[in-house]
Amino acid sequence: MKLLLFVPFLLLGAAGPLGAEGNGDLERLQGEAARLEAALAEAPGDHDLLLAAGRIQYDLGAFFGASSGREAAARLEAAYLIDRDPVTKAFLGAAYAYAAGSAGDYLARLDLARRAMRCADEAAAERPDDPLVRLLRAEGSYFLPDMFERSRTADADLEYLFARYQADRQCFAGLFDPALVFYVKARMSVKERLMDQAYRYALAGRKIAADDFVKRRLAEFLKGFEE
Amino acid sequence: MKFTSAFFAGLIILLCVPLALCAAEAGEELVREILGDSDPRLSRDPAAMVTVRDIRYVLPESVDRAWVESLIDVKQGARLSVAGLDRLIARSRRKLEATRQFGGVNVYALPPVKDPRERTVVVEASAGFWFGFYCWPWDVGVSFNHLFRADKAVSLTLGLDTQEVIYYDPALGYSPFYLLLDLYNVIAPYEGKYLDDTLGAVLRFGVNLTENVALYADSAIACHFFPDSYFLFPGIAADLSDAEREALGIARPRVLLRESLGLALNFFRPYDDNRVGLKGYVSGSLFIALDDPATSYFSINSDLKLLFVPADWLILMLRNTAGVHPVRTYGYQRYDVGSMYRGVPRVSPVDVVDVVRAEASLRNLPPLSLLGVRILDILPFVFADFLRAWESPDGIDWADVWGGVETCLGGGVYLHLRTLFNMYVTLGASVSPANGDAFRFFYKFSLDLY
Repeated sequence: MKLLLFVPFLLLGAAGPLGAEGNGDLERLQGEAARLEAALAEAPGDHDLLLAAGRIQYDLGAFFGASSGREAAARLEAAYLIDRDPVTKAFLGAAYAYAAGSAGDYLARLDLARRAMRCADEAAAERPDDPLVRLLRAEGSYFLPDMFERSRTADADLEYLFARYQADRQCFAGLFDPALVFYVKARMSVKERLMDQAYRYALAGRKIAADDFVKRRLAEFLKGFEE
Repeated sequence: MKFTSAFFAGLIILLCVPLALCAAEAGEELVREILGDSDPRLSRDPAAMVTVRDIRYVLPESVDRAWVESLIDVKQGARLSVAGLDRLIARSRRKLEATRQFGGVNVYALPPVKDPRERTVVVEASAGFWFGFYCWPWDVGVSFNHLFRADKAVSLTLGLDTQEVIYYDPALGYSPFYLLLDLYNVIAPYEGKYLDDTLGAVLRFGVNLTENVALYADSAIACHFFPDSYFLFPGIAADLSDAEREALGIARPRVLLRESLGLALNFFRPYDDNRVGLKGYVSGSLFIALDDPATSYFSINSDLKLLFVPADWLILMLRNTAGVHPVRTYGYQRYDVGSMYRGVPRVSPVDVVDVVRAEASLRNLPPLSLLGVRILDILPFVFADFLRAWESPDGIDWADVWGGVETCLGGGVYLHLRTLFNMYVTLGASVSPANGDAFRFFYKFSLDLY
């Protein structure tokens, strides 16, 4: 039954505490979030602190289901109002998307999804060649309800990132681990119930992953396939 | 030359498809490059033999699992090829979707993590909205699709001209057999002169022979009330005087009671890789007039529809509908041939009618979006009907039978409104060139609530 529990858990975008390693990451992120909140209490208008706090809250939600996404959106909204940077906007789009996916109220979900798509699309239009912006749009598409038909947008973003990586293996250096692209693709595949494809992309991602956090996420993802 | 939105949509699709195909390679190439061909678990040889080790069901609590199991063609322990398993999985998914009992359906095989020769199949279904609603301008209907743990349905129509209750059991005892009981009362105009009221019942017993072929037998009884009363709607009637009857050319009133026995074969071949679809039926019925055996007759109907999708934005359809009817068949006809030839003037009553319809519809036009959400799909269509009829009035030899071709041209638009509910609207108009006053509008409206 492990997989049957795992599939809905992936679809909800909530990773949950599957193992000791996962718990370790969760605690580390929670500790980091608490530290940033304390720093923000002293400097509430600090753009970098707001951005960092928003990103941590987003990770807590998107990877662990430990945040509703609204906390991340609130921090990132504040950061975006100080500096209208496309990357911040892309993070804001992903946070809205996660919040839309986890919102219980139908009208709130529609409103958040609309905001998510607008932020992600505008950021991608401003910086179409920015890998982080494209990755965040794909991640956000994963959380949005099927009725918005964003899987094609996500596929296009991921294929763009794969093509960049195929041409230059160092193109994401300093931004994110390339295995993260494979991880997002694997999750999208689960959403579309393409299980073979999900498994292959996750295996490939695990093979090239360098970052420990991404390695553990992929290992946990693959655990779901092992009975 | 005027460039329409359809032209641009086609152009965009033509440009995008090759780009998308090229781009789709990058991810797959990377995976192949990283993983290599060494891992047997990643093999996708369609001829490889596998065993179905387990089937898992993830269903809403309100759904009877045994009923769902009866619809799944994959069996535990079965040994078959990977391609064969894929086909059975696709067929099972379509069968579950066809029940219209679920909001979403997924059937898939899990990747072989441990043993590459074994597969686990997962069947997932989420609950749909329990009620369906539909309406015509003067009829309103509601159906409840989850009677007795989701495997039976009942629908109720209340309208000015139709009142109907249908009970449907799609899998009798979880077998391929199904049962439909339809009780109806219909008031319809007859030759534009008066209204005919028909009270009837249909008992249909059918079997799904294959995924796409169904065979069923109908037993129907109908009571036709001829216009001794002028029915406006049930419960209120106005008697016609003898003088009025004479003016309308109507015989002395009487009630006809008719039993019909019918056998029909439905088949459907959906779009495949060649983008061709075929749908049709053949049916025959024996009508027995219980009050007047002399007017008993046999009728036969056939309908063949060929669909062709030459491009993503275009659907072509060629349809032939043919029927053999007796002279002056009264009352409620449920066959398509009846509704089709009514679109063309001056052909009623008829003995034999054959209608060829050619239809083209555009799809994948840019949808209307609001705030980034796709809310309206638009599918324009045009059609041409060519009808040939052979009329055989009483007392005239078949050698004198009249034969002629009538045409009817029309077009319209099919709208799919994706609001909170799915709403489907068809609007259109048609004209018969041979008959200047035969310009008419048509419309259809339906709603999905799930």
